[in-house]
Amino acid sequence: MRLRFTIVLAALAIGCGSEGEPSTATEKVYAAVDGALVSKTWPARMADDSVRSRFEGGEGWRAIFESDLQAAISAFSSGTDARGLARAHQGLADLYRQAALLSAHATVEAYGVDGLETDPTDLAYVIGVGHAIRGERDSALERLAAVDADGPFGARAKAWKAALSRESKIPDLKTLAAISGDLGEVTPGTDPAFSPEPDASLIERTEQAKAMAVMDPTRLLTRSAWHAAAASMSAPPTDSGVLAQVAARYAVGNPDPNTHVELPVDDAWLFCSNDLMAADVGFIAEASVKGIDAVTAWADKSVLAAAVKPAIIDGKVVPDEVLDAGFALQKQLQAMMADIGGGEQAFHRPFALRSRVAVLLAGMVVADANDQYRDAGILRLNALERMEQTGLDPVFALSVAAWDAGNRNPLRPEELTHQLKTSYPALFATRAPLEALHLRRSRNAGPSNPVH
Amino acid sequence: MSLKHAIRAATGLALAFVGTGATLAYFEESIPMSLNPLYAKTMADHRAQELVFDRLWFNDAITNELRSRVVQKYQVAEAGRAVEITVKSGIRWHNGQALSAKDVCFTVDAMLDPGTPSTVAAHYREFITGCEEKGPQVALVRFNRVLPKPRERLGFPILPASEFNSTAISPDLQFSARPIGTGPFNGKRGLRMVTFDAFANTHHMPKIVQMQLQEGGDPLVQTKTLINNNVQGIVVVPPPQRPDLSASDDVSMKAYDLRSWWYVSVNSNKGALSDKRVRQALNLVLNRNELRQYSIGVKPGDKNSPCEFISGPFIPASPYYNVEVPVQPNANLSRAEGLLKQAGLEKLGGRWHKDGQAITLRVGMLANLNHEAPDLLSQVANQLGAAGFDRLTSKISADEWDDSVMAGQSDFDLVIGKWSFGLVEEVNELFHSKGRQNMFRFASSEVDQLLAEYEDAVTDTEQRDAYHKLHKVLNDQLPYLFLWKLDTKSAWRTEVRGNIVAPYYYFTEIDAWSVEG
Amino acid sequence: MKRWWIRPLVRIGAAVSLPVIVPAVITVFIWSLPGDPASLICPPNVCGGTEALAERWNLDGGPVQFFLGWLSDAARLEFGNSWRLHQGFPVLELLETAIPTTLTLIALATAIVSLGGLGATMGWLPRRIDPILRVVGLVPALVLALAGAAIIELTFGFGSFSDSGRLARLAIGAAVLGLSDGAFTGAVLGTRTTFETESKQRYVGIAILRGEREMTNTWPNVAPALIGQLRARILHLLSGAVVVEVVLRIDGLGDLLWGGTLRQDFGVVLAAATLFAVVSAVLLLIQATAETLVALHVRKAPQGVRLEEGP
Repeated sequence: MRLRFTIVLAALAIGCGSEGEPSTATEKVYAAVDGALVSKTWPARMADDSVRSRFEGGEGWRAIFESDLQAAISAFSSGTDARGLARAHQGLADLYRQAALLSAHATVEAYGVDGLETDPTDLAYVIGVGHAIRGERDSALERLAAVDADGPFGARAKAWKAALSRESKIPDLKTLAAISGDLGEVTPGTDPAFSPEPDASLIERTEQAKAMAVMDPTRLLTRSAWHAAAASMSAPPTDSGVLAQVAARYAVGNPDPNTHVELPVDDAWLFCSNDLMAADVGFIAEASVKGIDAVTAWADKSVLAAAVKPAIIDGKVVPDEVLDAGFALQKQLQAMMADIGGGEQAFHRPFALRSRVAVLLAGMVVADANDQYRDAGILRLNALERMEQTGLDPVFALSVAAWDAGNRNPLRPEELTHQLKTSYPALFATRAPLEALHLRRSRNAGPSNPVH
Repeated sequence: MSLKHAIRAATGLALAFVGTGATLAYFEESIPMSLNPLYAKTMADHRAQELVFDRLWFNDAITNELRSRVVQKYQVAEAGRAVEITVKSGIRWHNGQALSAKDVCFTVDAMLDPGTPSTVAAHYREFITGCEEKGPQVALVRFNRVLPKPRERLGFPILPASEFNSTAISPDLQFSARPIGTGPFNGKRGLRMVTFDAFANTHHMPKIVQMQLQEGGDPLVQTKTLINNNVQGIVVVPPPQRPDLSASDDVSMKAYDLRSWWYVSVNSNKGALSDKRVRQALNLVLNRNELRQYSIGVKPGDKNSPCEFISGPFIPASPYYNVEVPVQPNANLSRAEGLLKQAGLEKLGGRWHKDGQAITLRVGMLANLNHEAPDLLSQVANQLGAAGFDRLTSKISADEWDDSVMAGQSDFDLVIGKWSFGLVEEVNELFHSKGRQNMFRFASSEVDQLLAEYEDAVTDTEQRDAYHKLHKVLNDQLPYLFLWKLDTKSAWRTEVRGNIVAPYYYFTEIDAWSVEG
Repeated sequence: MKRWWIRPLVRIGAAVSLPVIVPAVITVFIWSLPGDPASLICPPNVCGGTEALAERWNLDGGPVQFFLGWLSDAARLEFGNSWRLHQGFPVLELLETAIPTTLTLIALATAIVSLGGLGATMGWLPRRIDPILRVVGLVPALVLALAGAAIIELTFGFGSFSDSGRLARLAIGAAVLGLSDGAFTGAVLGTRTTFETESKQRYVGIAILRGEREMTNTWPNVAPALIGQLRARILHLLSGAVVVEVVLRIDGLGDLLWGGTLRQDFGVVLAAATLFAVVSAVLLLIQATAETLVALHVRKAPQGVRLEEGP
């Protein structure tokens, strides 16, 4: 029998009512989640000193807490925690995969949709690669066919065409490295150097004949694949299934349509992640394809599914309900952590806030799969805003940037990549197409004055 | 108004009351100066007008899709030099009249009328040539050239022909205080407050019955008022108040996409400041780290800082920003002194003199910026004083800013201000010798040439390169001492639901907003 | 004095001419300022339409044309719309809000001041509190007004412009006006001194010996002075009202005048200043009337008095 309890929340009020008197503040009642499920979440279990001690004091886990993947790789490279290292590498794999998608969207929109007669013809290469990353195989082949075989991208175009002819998904590391350049042997605990040199300088077909420095988005795919391989090498063999499920969250291209199972997931995968418990990993992997059906299937074993379920009304994810569910879970967790830890402590709120974000992201995934594009966008942006308090997750941030670029909005992606580029220099590769998108949109935009 | 429409409007309004019956009160940066979109001068004006009027086309705040609430269909005509627009039937103005093509053409004609002294309209005159009514709901808008994406340029609010006697629209008409639009709210500007009453329509169903806007005063009072639920939102939260509000579970911080950068504008036509070396010296006198720390509360090395230094007239994330031009985070007094001596200034008794006269700098700051950056004016003055300049400081009211500073009639030497941009980050009007917003009439042939290069650019690469060069030149000539970019954040109580904040215009999605409890 | 009627006549003359002279002076002053509102709203180098705006506001024909046009419109109570301060608001509507507000403010403040005078007259306020009154009187209106504004903001927050907020502003504003800058103190001490000085006159002593009351003898003689003092105090309150209204954000005439001046909103400035002049004129008329009535009363032959014939 499922236990259900409600949390009564009182808004802040001026003054306090005396005991026994009805409160003058407004009261809100949120339906929260089965306590048994909540107790299995990593925030709840971390309230126990003995469970938490594993993650305290280590530079690697501090870096994970701060969402600094580069620092995490450096810290874990000494071999202190294989799973930590695998997680950091997978994070970078996801990050660069999203960066590639961002670059793809910006390229296709700027040079494809808003293409100009003055654009160099060989821009067709990056547009083609962009289509390929977006899963638009036919468009990709069409563009790649227009690339000058003797031009700077001729060989690369040929390689891509060959790869796409074999299969429609993104090629493997070996193929990608052959196209964009080898990053060297995959060595866990390291990060290949990034060269900011452009892959080609293409000349505009104008009187001025300006040169456009062009970076091949394939470089980002290669970097992503490299880190995915490093993650695979670092993770214990028993965790290969877990790794696959974790990778599903930010996968680009054709997602795995199969049903997932609940796997035993070590806390190293969960600590400070958007998966609150083991079952969440499988749930998210499945929900990204099956949407609401996944919620129904996982609601009794995944806390995220259980939290999102009440927010589904008449077959639709209702964003405001998801926001409420996230807040309720946060409060529930805070109360539980105080119970477990013998009183409220400083780390309870930051941990509980992450659970709130996790619920929003879960709702977003379900809404996306349920063809509720705009509602998923609302949840996406709300999650980004909530991350102000928990620290910006770079992978999620780049996924938002990629989504924005797909919507032809360059402003937020510019801000996000600017914020992250110091930590992840390879993001420089996304700059040129984003700039082009911004500039081309503003050239066509309505008149505007600076305003004070 | 026919009975059928009356019943529809009444039903709609009743539905709005059934929705929440709630009032939403919020603090703004300032009371809007005018609710007439032709006379929007501040961001507060734009935001308020967004509640009252429909723009012909707008970008969805979430998906960025170009949409219209008033246009049924459109097609490009006359080989790309015109657009034929069919407006939806059944849309009512706040005075009960029906929206028609006549209103679209009236709006265009008003913008083109030389008797309408509007700086907003002046921009549209550059490419719109006229409008013709092709039918009761069909209007043809003509341009002076082929426009590749005409809808993106037609984002102006529509005005009601029935409310005006002529297309020469003066700013002092009652319309500026009691506007009539087709937007979700009917606005009325009072002396201290603006109220917006919901107006249900076929294309708008606001869930909030009334909105009230007041100028936010002291930031601490604003914060306390919000936390105590005496107000539901603050549009611009000063950085020092953000941590308190972030920590509250009853308040949500919302990102507001507005590209804003702060500056100290230099009167390059006055006295010693006409010498570039003196301006460069002033630039070296400023310790931006200290200014930022003491006025905004951001320390050097703070992660994810909302405030980042700039070296030119763009934010660092902008494609126009020239990353090769370094910022000047700290002061360099010895180098500044060298430049001042080269410029012929003498330091006597610790004060700088030119031609035997002590230099006194008149420094002003737009008054309401003091909420966002408290004491910035004093901090700047103190640094100038420590460097050997006498100074007189004053806060500039919004009135004086418009009357005197922006009209190019100010006697200040230095003026601290902030510019905000949306997608379009053009700065030509700020720095061209004939620029409409060139407050101290800075003139440089090199800058004018680069701005012309920008205007004449055929490709975006050329445009970007022109502005990169401009950035470098402006960093050298310094008509402005560039300070920083500062992210804008709003705060809304969690009882306010569905509150999607649109980039720049803010309230574009107000129909989705509601208030619980 | 035989020519007692000169002073009231001068006051009547001033009352009649003030509402015309004041706007005329302001018009001259406005024309001497650099720039004009039309070009301020839309500088000619920025946008077209400046000339049309100048024509619409009657600024294109010189000060005499402007003044005469304004005067003839004002006689019909047509003040146009505010050009800049509250753009689009009919000035008459602004005045309709402002006048009762300022009158209420002044009336309340006058009531406080008058209470002081009455207290002094009736001997309700003992001398030993004079030092306290003197200290209170030292506080400038600006300081008290700022304190009052802070109280309002912190107490009412967003509701500071609700009905209760406005009432609170008025009450505090009246208290500020009535107490600060020596208004209350002056009323108490001034009235007491006036009566005391008059009471020392010989005729009062004789009247008391005759069994008459001191008040009935002194009152007619001090009345003109008290009326003059009251008029001066009201004008002092009126000028203080500008500061109080601006600081406390009370929507009265003073605030209107201040804001209109800052923004060169000629329509508002002229209307508000002329109204101040009208109020002053009314006070002058009241004073002239009171002086006349007192003079007539004093010069009235006494009833029931039989003159004894000389030896």
